[in-house]
Amino acid sequence: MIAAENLTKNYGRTPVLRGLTLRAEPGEITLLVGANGAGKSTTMKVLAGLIRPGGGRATVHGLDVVTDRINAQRLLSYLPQSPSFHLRLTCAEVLRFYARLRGVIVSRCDAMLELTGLSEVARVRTGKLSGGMRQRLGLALLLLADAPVLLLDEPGLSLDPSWRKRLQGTLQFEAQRGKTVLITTHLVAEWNGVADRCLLCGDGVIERELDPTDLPHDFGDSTSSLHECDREMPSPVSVENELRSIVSI
Amino acid sequence: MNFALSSPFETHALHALLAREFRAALINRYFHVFCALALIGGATAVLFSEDTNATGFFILQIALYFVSLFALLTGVSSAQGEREEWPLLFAQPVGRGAFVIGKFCALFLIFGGVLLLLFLPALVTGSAATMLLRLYFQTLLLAAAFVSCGLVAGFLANDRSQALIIGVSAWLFLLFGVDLMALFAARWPLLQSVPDLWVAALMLNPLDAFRIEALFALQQIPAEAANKTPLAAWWIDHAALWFSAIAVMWTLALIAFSAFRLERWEE
Repeated sequence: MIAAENLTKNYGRTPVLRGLTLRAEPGEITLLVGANGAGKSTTMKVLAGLIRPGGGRATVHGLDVVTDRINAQRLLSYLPQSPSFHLRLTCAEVLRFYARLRGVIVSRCDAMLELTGLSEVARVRTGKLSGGMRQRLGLALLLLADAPVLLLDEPGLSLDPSWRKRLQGTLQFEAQRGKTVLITTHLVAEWNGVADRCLLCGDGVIERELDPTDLPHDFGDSTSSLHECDREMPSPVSVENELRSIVSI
Repeated sequence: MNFALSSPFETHALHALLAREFRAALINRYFHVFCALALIGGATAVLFSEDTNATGFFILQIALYFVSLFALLTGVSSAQGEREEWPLLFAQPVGRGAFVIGKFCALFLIFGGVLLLLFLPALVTGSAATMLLRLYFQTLLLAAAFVSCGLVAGFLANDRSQALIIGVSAWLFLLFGVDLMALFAARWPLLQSVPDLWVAALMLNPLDAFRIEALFALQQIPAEAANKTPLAAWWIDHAALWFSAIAVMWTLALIAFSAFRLERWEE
């Protein structure tokens, strides 16, 4: 579970968070939506232990992300908005590095490459990957540690519609396994019926909760292309079967 | 944020960081160039020197100007090389000090290997193996201090250009600036009345400490030439020990500062 209470943060003299309070429960996909500059990414960075809040408190499964940062980080996986990797290392090397860093068995790396469709480029240096492939490598890293809390900052931006759909299926499956999934996005409408909760962030606070089955198109619209690709998508059942096989590794 | 030095020594994390640094160094073209230059420098020292002492003196010059600069640039490059990856790296449950220690240990071991190339021709052909081995270990300590200096510059700066400016400025200051300042300061009545202050300033500079130790060890300067003050006399008597101590102190202080700086970093 993720809990943030009265988070504040200033960049210089500019306040970005002004007492933000939220909760994200296990078994649910919680969306944090809002316009640019609303404070979504800053909230995620605070929760990931990357920046210190000016005030307030944030916990992951009860562990304070400031005072008990490393133990809190053990429980979470974070996917930044534009993940960057060592340009000279290959996809497989990057995954192995993070697997070793987190004490994860290295054999999971191949399954993650398979899941994210990167097996064929496993030996390609990350500097030669497209933006979408880098995002998929980031997704592979996100799932690698099998952490109980997943934080994703604008995860679909570089992905094509088919992979955005697949990402949603993957995250739904992880939520069904009891994980806490918190996602920031401004492609709100794409998550209609996928997310369990949707929090509208504005001016550094949570303004209100939106109905997750009737999400607006206010923060960007690429749903038309998403629906056009529906026929090419692997069915949710096939994605789920693939994921179940990985869980057993 | 807690200053977490509790976890840098997690073996799996250090193992991962060491393996990654080694891999990155193996495919780094600058390291290939450095290896080639080290070998050429070592061979040139043997070819163009009349005896073992002259060879040692030649290698000393390479160490002073070339190894120290390359070690610094390597530290800068290593610290800045993955700067864009920091958000992903620092979201992992590993103390940030581990990244500094992992990088330093890997670069130290790599330099240990590469410097063998510099000393190998002299060791193979020369007879004063003990003197050359002593110079090898001291060159390695000097490299360690400048790798740490490069890491600090790399972690302090916001981009690679800024890091290079900071790093190279520090190198120029230690190589020439301290001596020039000491030269000008020698005119002051205070320093003339307490010359040990002047000596102490030189002693604290790892490049001067290395230069003095190596020159006396190679018998390029007669000991009595600098035996003018009690502190200078002590320094000359304990030059090797002092250089080792000052190099280790600089290295530890710079690594600790790098870890502190990284711990405070925010995106």
